[in-house]
Amino acid sequence: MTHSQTSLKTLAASSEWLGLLHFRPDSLSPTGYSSFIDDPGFFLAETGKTDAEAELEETLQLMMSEDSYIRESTSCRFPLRKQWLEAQLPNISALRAPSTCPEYLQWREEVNASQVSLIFPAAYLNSPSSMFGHTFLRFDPADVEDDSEWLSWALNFGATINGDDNSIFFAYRGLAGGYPGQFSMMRYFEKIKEYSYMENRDMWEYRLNLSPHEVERMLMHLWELKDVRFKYYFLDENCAFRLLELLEIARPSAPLTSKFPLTAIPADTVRAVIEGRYVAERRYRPSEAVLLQERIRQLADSERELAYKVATDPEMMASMDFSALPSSRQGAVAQTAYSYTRYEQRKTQRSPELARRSFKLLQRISQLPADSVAPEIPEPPETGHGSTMAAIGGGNRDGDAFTQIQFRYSYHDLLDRQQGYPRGAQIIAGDAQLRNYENDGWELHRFDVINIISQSPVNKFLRPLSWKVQAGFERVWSDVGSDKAYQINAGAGRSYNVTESWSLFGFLTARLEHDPDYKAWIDPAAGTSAGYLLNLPWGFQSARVEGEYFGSDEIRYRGVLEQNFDLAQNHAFRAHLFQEWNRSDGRWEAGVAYRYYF
Amino acid sequence: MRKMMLAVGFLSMTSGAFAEAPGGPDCGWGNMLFAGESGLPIHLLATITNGTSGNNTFGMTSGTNGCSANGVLTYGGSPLVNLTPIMDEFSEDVARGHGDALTTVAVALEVKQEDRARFNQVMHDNFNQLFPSESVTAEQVMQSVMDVMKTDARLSKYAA
Repeated sequence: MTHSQTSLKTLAASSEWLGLLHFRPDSLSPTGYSSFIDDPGFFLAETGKTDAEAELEETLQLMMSEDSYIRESTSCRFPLRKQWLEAQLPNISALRAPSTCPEYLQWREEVNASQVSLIFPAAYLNSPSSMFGHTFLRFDPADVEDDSEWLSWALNFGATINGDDNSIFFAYRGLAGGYPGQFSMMRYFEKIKEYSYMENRDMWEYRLNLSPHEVERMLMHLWELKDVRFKYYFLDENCAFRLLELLEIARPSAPLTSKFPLTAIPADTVRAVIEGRYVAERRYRPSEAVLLQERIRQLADSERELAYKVATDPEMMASMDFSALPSSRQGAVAQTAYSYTRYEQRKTQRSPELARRSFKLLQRISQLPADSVAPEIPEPPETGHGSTMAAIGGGNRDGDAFTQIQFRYSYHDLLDRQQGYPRGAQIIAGDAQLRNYENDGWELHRFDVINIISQSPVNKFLRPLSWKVQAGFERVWSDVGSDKAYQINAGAGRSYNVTESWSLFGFLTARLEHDPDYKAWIDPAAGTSAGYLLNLPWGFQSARVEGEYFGSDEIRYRGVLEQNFDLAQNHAFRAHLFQEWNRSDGRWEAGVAYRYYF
Repeated sequence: MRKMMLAVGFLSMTSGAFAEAPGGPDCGWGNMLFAGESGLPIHLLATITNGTSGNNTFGMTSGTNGCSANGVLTYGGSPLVNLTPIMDEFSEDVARGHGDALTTVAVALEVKQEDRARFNQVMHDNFNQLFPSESVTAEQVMQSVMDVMKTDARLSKYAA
């Protein structure tokens, strides 16, 4: 061997080698470092998970082995390690022994990639977990043409889940790393069907400016990760984080993962990739639901009625109402009816009746002029406000002045600046409000563990359920017990758009409350909530009235008026007025706050 | 004919993996339309972990839905793709005469850019032959695509 132990030590400590092994600082490890990868199959040395130097030595040993089988199989299993070592140790001729690696080459040819795109399926209403988003990669051949990316390969990092698992455990397991995470590849159209068709999520495609050499490095490393199991953690070691690692492998000079030590929310990672100057081009792929909404929007009222009738009974296309229309309008009506039929089908089980109706509609569409619809492109997700928020403010509660600080871990509430987020959707995880009344000392005023609202408007065609769920600690105006309430509440209802910018909503609600100083351990309640959400030029306004009747015979009701003032992407001003009553008494509150998102 | 032979080859390689016989009684377009989600809990689970249930592998799958492994196309010469999983989208695009699924099939059949408009037009004009009923299978549709192309002066070279 011509290399000294010192140079090996230096090599083993280099950020590139640590990157290849997916090492990160770890105070529990004897070496101060350990690998994210839990799968022993990824390491050649016994102590490889925690000892980068031992792994380097073992890799070198095997790649220079006298035994050609060992040499070949190690080199072909880890092509990027081999390439890197060759470059770092040019004097070791034994490393230069060529490898043939037919399996790798066959796979590489099949992937046929010279361009990479980062794909971000945006959040969608009615699915809180989707609000954290998802990211995956798409590999395109050099000659990919417009609209032919359907056949490109998509690379997904996700948990491998067992279909027989009890659904109660999935969230826990998803959060706690109970599912193994693995990379998998499938045709891009499988992903389009999954997100655009089944889940009604818009997709944003960011073509990256990786050079062919960088794409090559990424694919070589991907091969090294073949069948390797990671632990999947919903919040940090998730799909988005793993993709950042791959980007770092492709272009080692640009640190990305270090920006996400605790959590990697896909929308934030997309922002980081854009800020890191990886993106050459952005493209919007509207979901099928957005296309349907656009088709509905382009119909006159009478045509909408007709389209709905035709969708439920295609024989209506023989009616006078239908045939009286010019053929271009007949086409628009029939296509709206078909899109609606498809939209409905995706939610139901197979039925011969729906098949018959769809087929009749398609037959007729094939004889009518066909227009494409092009919905307006929304503001891309990266232009939205940051997902963490801190606020400072003050106000007066029934004559007592207070100052308040607030920290919200994530993500977006109904009144926050809408750009880049779906309208009518709120998801809050970890939101703490601390108050100090007249310098009495700080106390916890409110803590939301989760607070989710989904207000999807109903129309002639679509009648989605609006719903909300919230759990946490809050101060309440109660005439029994103390003012401390640990509670969970949920509601279901409807939302309706009066105009483009003004929507009404109503919910029936249920609540379970625990007050540590109250005789009943759990007090259940039923209630209602109704109000409006108004999109004004300077920011969202909302007002609502709500009330609950408790099992203990207590009654509480309140009115809330809130106004957000959008100052800039990451700055806002929020004002609120609040009045609450119980059976015997009431109190009011007014407050303002400055909000900073990051 | 080369492509159809590839299709047969692929079929024999993989048909053992499918529970149902290719082109079996439940494999019409009409049934495919409703291959819905397999229950809410597992769907939520897949969403929260961005995962997949079952046979999640690094190896590439042809993306069949277990109904039929026929109607296979090629892409750029070597990889294979199956018409079955995009049959809904294909039928819709044929009816309209344009769309991503139609382009995808054209690309897979190696139809050159300058002949794409013609391909779209010919498929659209022959909707009734490609989709004679709601029980047509992917294999039958694929065969009709080839038949229709053979009768067209500009497209026949791709179906040879």
